[in-house]
Amino acid sequence: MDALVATAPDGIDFDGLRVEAAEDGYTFETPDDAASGLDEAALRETAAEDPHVGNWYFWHAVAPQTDARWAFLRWLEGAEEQSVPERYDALADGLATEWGQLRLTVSLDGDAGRSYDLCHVDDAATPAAELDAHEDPFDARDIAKHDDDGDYRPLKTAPSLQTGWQFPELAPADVVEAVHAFYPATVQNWHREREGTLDVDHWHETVSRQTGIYGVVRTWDRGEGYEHVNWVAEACCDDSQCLKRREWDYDEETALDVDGGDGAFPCREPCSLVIAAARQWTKLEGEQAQTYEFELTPSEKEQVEDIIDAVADGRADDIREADVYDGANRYRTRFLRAKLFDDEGNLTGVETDD
Amino acid sequence: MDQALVIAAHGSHLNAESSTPTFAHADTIRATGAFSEVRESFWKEEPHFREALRTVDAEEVYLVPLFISEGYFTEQVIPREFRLAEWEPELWDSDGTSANSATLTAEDTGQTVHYCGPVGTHDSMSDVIVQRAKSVTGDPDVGEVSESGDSEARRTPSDGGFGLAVVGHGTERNENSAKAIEYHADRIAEMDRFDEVKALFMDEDPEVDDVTDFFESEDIVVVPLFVADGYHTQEDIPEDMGLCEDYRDGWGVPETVDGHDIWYAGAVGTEPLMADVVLERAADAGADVSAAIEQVRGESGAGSAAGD
Repeated sequence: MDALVATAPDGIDFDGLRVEAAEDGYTFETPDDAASGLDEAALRETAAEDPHVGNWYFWHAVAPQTDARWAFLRWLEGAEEQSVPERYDALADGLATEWGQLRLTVSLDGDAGRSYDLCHVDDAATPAAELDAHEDPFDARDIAKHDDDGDYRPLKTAPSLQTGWQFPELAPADVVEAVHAFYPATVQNWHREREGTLDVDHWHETVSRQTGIYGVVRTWDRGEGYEHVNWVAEACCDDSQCLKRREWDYDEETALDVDGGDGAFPCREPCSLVIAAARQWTKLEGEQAQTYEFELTPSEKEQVEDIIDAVADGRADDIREADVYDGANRYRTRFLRAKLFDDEGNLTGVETDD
Repeated sequence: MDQALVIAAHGSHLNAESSTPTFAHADTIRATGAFSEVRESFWKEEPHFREALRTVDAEEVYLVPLFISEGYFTEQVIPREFRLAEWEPELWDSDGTSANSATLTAEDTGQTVHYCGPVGTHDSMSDVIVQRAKSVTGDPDVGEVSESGDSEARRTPSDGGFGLAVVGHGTERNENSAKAIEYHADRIAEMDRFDEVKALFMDEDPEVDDVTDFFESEDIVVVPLFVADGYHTQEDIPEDMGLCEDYRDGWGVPETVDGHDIWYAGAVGTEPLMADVVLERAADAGADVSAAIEQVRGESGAGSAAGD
């Protein structure tokens, strides 16, 4: 309240709250209420019960003031769409939003405060007692390192975030810090995109600046089209592999034919995993095609396709042990190997030509 | 004005532990409160070098590479990826181990970036190597027992004299890689603490495989000058030195090889005192962090700064 009185001479106009100081006293206006000619005591009394005041204070004295962090927290509670009373009603019950695989729930902490609960989207209905509770936002770095199987996650925005944890009561600055640890720089890039200042580096620019062991990737662009980049994007950047929405294309003029995905936050250039994989593909794709002759039954041909699909979709581990009706089943695959490979591991005994 | 610290480390697509020391040192420095923000950034992980600065609110940033030597990464990759367009290696005016800092502007964010030399070539790295030797032997007097008149001290592991091997990757793509190792080996030798100090390498002579050939001391502390534990420090070097047949079997500390006791320290970068070197780099570039340096040196067992 002291802050309101102190700021009134400069004028306040925020989220429906207007406060001004004139010679005949203070003016206090909200969409539901208007009073003027108030002395300081009357201003304090009028403002005391109004949620617009706590809301104004939160956004100017409690929430982080940097543009991107502020805008992100505003977005979390739909502050640009809903009036303060509507919003405060919703926040009283907790207002949930998703960000990748994160579920963020904003609640009121008094009229001038917010508390943020952060968990995995798949844990939305899990009782809190069954989740590991964390307070330190930097714990998120460790959680983000491994998936539910304990495997290392080199790509933070892969849709493989582990479950079973919760940050039940994060302060405004801390929730942004935790989101950064899970999905680094996504808040800043999302904000830049909203402001129209996202600096996209397309494929050709990105590979052109590579040096050292990655310099070879430059040679993959031969000015003969961009089909190879379509394949890269389909392999690495699909929503099933990465939750960022791909905004880069082959170059400024040449869009890729593959969908960029539906992610909330943008991908502004090919990442280090894409470049590392592209280095390997640059080498492999430098080989000339050869003609091989294999004899397969129709079912065996389909089984090879099933196996490729299962591995590409990360489904191989999910095929039940006795499900011999699935071509990518382990017994089916072992049978195929036993029948078709020679002692050197050559398919139907046909040697690989170098 | 707020000052932020950004640590630039290599990271890994394959090894989950590669980033662990970076996080640990960042946490140590964050806890001192010397910077308004402390950010980790990586070449192979996220936040990537490319996008680290935009996550920092401060207009003034101290950028410290958590790399061992001056060369390809510190002179080309990091300045390019952080968009320090005015950078050129001459700004460090370094002979390969004497980089200081250069003040530049990041093109994408407009922040002022004090781009510091890597931790590995800072003088205080010698102290970290010695500290690593103390940690692995559990003996704060390691190497110094000959100076001691205290009969109790002679019951420490240091009884038979200690040698120290500082191990580096070797030249491969970058001659400065070996220079950093030799630089610290020479500096530690001048301390007259250890009976013998040698610089050894993985892929050039003198090779770490023959470590026992280079020492007369009964005990040898082996400290690899690597930022993080990974394939080289946890598989390659232990097997090459004969600490074990297969790294999966593990090894003793010390492990006896050819009549010598080898105290293998693992990556020097995991030593808590590394946080001090990061701070020293920022301090040399003008950051106001003297209290933090005292605090970190106190916490990590190194005592007060020697004052150089």
